Amino acid sequence: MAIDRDSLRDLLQKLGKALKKPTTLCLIGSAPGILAGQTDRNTSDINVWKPYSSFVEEDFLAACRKIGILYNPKGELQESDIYVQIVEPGIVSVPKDFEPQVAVIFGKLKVVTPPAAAIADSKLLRAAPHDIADIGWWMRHRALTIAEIEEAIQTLPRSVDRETAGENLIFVQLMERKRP
Amino acid sequence: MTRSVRTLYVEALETLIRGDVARVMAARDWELLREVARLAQEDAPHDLAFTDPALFRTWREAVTKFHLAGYSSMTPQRVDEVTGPRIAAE
Repeated sequence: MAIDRDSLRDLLQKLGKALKKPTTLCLIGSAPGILAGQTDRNTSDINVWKPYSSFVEEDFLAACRKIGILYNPKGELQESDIYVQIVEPGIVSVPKDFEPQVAVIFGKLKVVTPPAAAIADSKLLRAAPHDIADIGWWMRHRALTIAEIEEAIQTLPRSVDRETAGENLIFVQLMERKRP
Repeated sequence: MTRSVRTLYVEALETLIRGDVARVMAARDWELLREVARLAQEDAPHDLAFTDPALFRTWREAVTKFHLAGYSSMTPQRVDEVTGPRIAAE
């Protein structure tokens, strides 16, 4: 089931109430944009970037069950499922050593996100249509520049990813606002 | 990809109205992207307001969405600059 900004905030609020231990979740993917106000975007999964998150697994799992979302499902999913996916470095590549930005705090839950440039970098790697649209949104709404994105590309852990993101910078060049 | 002028115009207008610009970018269809950018930059022709008010309104709304999506800088000139002289020469 696709969730929009209001539903996502509602879910995180419920999660914050259900958690018993202090928890920090670093969200990646589309959730940071949705939380930041990207109104025409929705998602069915909440991707949690493990290296920058801190939680007690049993507590997090119990809280997810309590509010009716799946925790790190590995099997087949139904269309109505909303789930949290714990993402570790590997298939997904996110710039390292970034300063997490606090998005919201609900009860025991602190939600952080990578900076806009790091989010744009991850999206440049795949560069699917919705990724490109997301990058355009971040550039427009966070005054993100190509220089910031290029700088963040240099911090991607794998050279193959740096190369791919560099090749896909053409999308950023097309959308970049020229400053006087 | 080479299309007739008419085909290119129709495809570009459909793309603009559907808000499908990112898909054209992802496909690196620069010819079509340039035409979409041109239609957005030039906006709906004023005559259309009298001849086809519904299309006029839809086109104007699509141009607004184009800008809100962050594509304001994507003019035909920018597409030419960034994607190379191939399109400019056509």
